[in-house]
Amino acid sequence: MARAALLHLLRYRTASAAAAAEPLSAFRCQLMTRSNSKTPAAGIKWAGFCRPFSSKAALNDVIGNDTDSSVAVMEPQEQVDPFSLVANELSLIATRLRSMVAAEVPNLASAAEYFFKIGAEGKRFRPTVLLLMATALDVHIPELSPPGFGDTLTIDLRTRQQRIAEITEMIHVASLLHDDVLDDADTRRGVGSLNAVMGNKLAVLAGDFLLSRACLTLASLKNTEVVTLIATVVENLVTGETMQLTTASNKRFSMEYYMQKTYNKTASLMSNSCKSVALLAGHTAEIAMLAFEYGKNLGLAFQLIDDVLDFTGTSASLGKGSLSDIRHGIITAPILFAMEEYPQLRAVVDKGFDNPANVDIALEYLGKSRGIERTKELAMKHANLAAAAIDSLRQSDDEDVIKSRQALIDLTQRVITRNK
Amino acid sequence: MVAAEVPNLASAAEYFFKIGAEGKRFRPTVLLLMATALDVHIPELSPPGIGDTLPTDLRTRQQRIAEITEMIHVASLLHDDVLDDADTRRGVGSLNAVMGNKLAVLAGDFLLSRACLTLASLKNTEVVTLIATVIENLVTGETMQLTTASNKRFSMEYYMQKTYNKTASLISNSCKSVALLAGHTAEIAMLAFEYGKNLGLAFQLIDDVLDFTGTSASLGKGSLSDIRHGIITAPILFAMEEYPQLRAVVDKGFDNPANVDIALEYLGKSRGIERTKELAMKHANLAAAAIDSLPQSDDEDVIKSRQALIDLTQRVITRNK
Repeated sequence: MARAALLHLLRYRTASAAAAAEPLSAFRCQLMTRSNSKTPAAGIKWAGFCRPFSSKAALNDVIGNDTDSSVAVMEPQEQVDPFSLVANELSLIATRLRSMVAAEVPNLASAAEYFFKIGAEGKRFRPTVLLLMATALDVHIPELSPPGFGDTLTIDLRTRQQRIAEITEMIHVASLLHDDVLDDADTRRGVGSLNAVMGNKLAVLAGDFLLSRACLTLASLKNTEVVTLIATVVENLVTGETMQLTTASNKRFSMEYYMQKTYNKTASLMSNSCKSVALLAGHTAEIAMLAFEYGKNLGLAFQLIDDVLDFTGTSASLGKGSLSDIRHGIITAPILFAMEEYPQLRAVVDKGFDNPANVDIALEYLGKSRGIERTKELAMKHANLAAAAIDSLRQSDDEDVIKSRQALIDLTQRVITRNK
Repeated sequence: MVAAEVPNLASAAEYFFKIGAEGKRFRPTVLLLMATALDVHIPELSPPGIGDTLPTDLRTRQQRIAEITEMIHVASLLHDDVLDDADTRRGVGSLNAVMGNKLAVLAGDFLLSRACLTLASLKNTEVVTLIATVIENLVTGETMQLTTASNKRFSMEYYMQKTYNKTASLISNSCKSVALLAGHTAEIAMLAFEYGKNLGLAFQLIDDVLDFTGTSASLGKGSLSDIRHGIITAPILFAMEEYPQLRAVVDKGFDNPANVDIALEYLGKSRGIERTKELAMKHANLAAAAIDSLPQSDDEDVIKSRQALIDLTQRVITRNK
């Protein structure tokens, strides 16, 4: 009961805070809850929003839990739905991904495809951003030949940029596969049936397989700077995951360490793939850096809100259970901020959270503190930095370019105003 | 190269290279010898004056291939070991055990990413493609081994494909990469590939034999470890051709040690071991032939390296451990 009350308090506070700080975006999303819907209607799946940057197990996706009981209905006023701008391309990419992960060995093929079938439904956030970025950057490059000759060049370029989207998805899913294996090893505690072992083994192998396919696709781009960027991403993912494993307490309580870890685990993929899209198009270093900054700040904003929602969201909407971070001993931004106000919270955190009573104590401190608010403020700061990066791009009169840039800016607002 | 910012990751990654440094120098040796053996005069290179600086860079780049190869090899071992541990420990779920496994998977991923970064630094996308293919082959090979569909398990063809994937692909493609980095022709690159491939296959076939005939002291992994894990290798496959009733024995699985003895009896009666050795020799000879097919050279180092490569082909098939 106490915990429910605490959560209620947090939710109400955040709701009113959100109302007070309503962004200027003319774009509104209203959530309609349909508790019995099995098949989400055409619309944006907010669960898909949550999943891509979440470092949590994709278990619900894997076992087919319907996390899409809420459907966002768009009230488009003047803007265009960002996702619809690239819908056709996304289908194309999804199809290509499925054929790309087809393997000669049936078992491997099923494991790899499986995560792309499920993934194809909800995990389109990153490819959407990348495709929008590709269009948004379509600044006239002086050295290109006049339109006639440039047409094939443009088509090839677009295909290559789509490859980045595919590569990004493969790497993302590979990291999920590996994370899930390790979580399963955690929770199943050696129910060592052959199926379980085959399942885990195949998952690790499938992850390696996807990584190798990503590398092959990367190689086909014949751009070694991009290869370097993407290889860096893989390294960052690993480093980020390891940072999370590190239990040295002095680091765990450091906001700086936390932001670095968050960059590694969540934002690096987005930032470097955005930059790659720009590099493939032959843009200048400055423009590539703007693309990078957009991706980075978008990713950070997303994760910070993810952290907040882990405290304030409902289990129905998140599909992963409230408080899953803290229960796994993962200390996120709201708690870190709260610890700055209430140093005694440190001792509580040090005890660990196997004991649910300790969770309640921590939540009490969190409720008293401005931890949630400060995290949201930080998220907004990063969202605004992302939008600013887009605004800094050179002026363009091309309608598609303008639409895409607006869509990218809309996305920065969505990541911070979402409720799940 | 495997130093990492995060201490835990660094220890995990380094650990396997410390151990690895003792015994696993085979692949780098082959690659460095190949680099020298291929040192054929390339017509389009500038005269010695300018050409002097170029070879140093080239050699460094070829050394990178050796490093990349080792990183990939160790990464695959790390992943394989993790999964075997999951098998045998059956969920002694202590935090240390889980951290150990988790770190091992992560360390493997870390090594793979470092390998990719090093690959990228070579700025040769054909080489990147070759090495990425290796990783894919390793995975496919491991998965083929997991496949228990019996019709495939009893096929020599399937077995050789699996062996290529798991063992020979790495050496063959890295040998080829060494050649490509030096700017050699496709023909020469293919000879390097053939050497690596046949050497790798010969090595694995003898490995299979030794698993039956070697002593546990020498192999360090215990005799009969393949068959006890239900892995059907060339000697048994050959024996099954002579004694079809061995199939039924194999189908029963080998959890029961008595079944292992029965299989060994058939193996002993058959020519399984001999035929495997003959096949190994055939591949060793093909590897040597590839070296002999290289364009003639009068350079002493080149001659020595080629001879060393040929000696290796003999060593892999005459070794006792």
